[in-house]
Amino acid sequence: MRLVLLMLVAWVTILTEGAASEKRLGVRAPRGSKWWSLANLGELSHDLRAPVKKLYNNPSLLPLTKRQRRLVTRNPGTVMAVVNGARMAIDECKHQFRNRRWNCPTKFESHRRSIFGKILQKGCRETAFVYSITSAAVAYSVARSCAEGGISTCSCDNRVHQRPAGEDWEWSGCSDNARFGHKFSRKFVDILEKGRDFRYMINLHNNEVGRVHVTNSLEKRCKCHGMSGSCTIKTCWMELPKFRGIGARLKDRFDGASQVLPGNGGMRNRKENSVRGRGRRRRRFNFSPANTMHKRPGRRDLVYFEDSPSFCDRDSSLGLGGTKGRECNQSSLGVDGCDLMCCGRGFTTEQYTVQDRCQCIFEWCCTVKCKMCTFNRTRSTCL
Amino acid sequence: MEDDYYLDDMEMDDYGPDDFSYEQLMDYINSYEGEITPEMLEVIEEYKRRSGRSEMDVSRIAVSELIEMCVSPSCVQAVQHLLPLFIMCAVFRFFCYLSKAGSKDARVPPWLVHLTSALLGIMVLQSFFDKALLYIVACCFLSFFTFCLVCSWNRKYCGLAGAMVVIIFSLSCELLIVDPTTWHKIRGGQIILSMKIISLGIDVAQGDIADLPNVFEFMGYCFNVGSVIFGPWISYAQYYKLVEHDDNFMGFTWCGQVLLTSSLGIFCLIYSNCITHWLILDSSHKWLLAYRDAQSFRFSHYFVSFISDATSSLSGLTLREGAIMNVARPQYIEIPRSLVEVVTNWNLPMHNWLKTYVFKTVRPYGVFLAVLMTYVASSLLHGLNFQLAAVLLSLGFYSYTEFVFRRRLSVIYDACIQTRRCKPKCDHKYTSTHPVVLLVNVFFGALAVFHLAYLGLMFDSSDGEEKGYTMWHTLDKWTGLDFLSHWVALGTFIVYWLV
Repeated sequence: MRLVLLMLVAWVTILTEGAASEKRLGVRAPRGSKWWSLANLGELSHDLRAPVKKLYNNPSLLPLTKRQRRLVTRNPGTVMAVVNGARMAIDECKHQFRNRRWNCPTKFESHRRSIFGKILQKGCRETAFVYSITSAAVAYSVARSCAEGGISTCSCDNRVHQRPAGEDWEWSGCSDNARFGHKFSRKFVDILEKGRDFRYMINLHNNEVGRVHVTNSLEKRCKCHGMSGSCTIKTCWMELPKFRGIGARLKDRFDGASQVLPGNGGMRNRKENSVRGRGRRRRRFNFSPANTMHKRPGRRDLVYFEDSPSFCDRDSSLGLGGTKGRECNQSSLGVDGCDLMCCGRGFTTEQYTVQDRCQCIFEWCCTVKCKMCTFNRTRSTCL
Repeated sequence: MEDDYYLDDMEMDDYGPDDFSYEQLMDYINSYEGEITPEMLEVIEEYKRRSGRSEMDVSRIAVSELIEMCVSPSCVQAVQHLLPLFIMCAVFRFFCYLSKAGSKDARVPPWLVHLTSALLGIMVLQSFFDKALLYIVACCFLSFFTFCLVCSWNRKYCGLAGAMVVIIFSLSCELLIVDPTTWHKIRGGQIILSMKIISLGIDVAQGDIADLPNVFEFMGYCFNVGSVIFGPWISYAQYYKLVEHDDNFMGFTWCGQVLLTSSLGIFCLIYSNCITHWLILDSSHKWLLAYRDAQSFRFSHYFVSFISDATSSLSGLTLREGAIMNVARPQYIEIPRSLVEVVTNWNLPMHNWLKTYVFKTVRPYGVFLAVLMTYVASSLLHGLNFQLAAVLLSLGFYSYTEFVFRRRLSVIYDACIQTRRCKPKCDHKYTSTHPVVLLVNVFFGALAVFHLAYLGLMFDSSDGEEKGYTMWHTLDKWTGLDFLSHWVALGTFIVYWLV
């Protein structure tokens, strides 16, 4: 009898806790996503027959919040960079995930809806990647735009930080561009995560992960000079990697993302660390990993708290199309292989013919003549 | 925007996915119980791919960015490195001038001038090599004592003894004593020193120098500030002339020459570091990439040559009257007529040294032996490095083949198509202005460019650069190009043999 009573009490506690946590994680439409539709600005303005220039010059027409608009107005030239950034983020996401069940589908309906769909209402790996890549893209694009002189407010002050040359050489160039990009992206993107729940912390963390990968991606290259290839003096310089490289690194982080527990840990830490008001707001969250054997996620690791859906079947509540009809690679054993892609439902293989140019010959001077050939190709699609 | 940005916010743990190896990962996977998720599959794939991972989209960065990220840091660092050297050279020149300014009685004694030269040289060595300068100083003293000993016994063996000491010292340093990074750093200075000591020994042995120099003269020559770091090699007679009869201080042509050569040098540095990689992108064809890496290496060599030119003229040396480029002549290397021309113009003082002190010394024992010894000597000078030895040997074979093949062709067709330019009035039937002759020469020039790209591409400033490249690096690079240039050279040789 006592045992039963104990179990009952335990059950009730679990129930209430569960409800509480559900409330905390309350599913709401992500606010921070409206600006992503800027990626479609070109097409949009075409439909409305409004010149693009006008839209850029008049931020009130843009799908931005009031504070974002203020930020953009104060820093002329950044709108173009943000638009580019949004496009880069979408392209990169699609590229990195082209072979996976979730292939980063985007849909543009209206400014109300997020361009990446309802996957953002979840808290899974894919959500984490989307947040980090978009934030990274804005930071990158703004920094590049600074370097090319497209933004007037980020002029590089020519303080020369001379450091000893040689072995311990450090770059003393105009790192302000990267700084500005980082700062701008933080202001512009993070502004939208205003809640106080766990999801908010996860999103902020993932945004920061994206930016950190941009700021720390400058690569130092060195070259030796001396008689017959010896190394009498060494000179070094910096190289900024392409955004593809940053996307690939974030994809690495996606593969190794850590699941964290929705607990108080991050919250408490935030209160300790953040002193509201003017000045520093350091968002250093302290997430505890779901698997206690794993190490705590660092500042470069993506975090998530929900398991991803399988992405196999159509799920209208999340707006997912499923993998039916997706093309797959019959010979691959990886995630783009038909077994994994089609979730074991099987696939059809069809033969089709294409006509393409072939046997091209260069004729002097200067024409290239080709024949038209017919190729037989096979294509597998999931059932 | 208020400043809520802190740099320490961006310092983070340096955990990267490269922290453990593929084998470790596979061990983990094998002992892993549970479902393998698609993410884990991708991690494995990623590790497999990592070795051959370069499939990135590449595009040219803006010029302003290139200047900011590459050109200006390169320039700043080069100036930081070179400024002490230039200042010391100028100080030495001024001291030389002062030492002769006064009346005959009140002059500075010559030993003090030599000592100044040596001390300034040691200071420069210190600023470049730090503690590793001790090896160079040790080599200098060791050879001086050897000279003293051997000279008191029999003057004729001075040259041989000097050469032996220098070579044994270099090899034992390279193989036993010094760690590769340090050795690779001081190797340039060591080569110059070896050349100076050997040439001095042979000069003494053959009686071109009346007496063995005393310790001040010897040190002054070995550590002469204008040539101790980047060369060029100077003979003892040239050095002596500089100290004893310097009388053109007030003429300012040397000033212009120093400015011109050092700015040319800086341009070559920028071209080597930044512009080659900006012009030819990573996604280009493999032969174009080979050309790029080889060109980057060549321009790095021109940079060193121009700087050595500038320092030697700043410290008062005149290598050749009225010439600007005394060390390397890039125009004959970038647009070559033949490989022989490239080899000659690569480093003129070194070429002269090899010709005077190796080829001509061994000549009496046979031409073939002389040629062989020249290559052995230049390989030994550069140290025991497979890559350099392979390049030098290939270059020797190529230039020999080219030389005999073109000579034979020139005899058969009676045309000016030899490796060296014809004299203005030659007795060939077809002179250089004949279109076909021109075309043939352009063809051989293009062939030389191709060979140079093939030979130079391993100096690609990859990871092994600071320690010297390994044999596998060389063979890897050449396998990537299917050893094509070697086959072409072999084909040329066979054609020559059949014709």
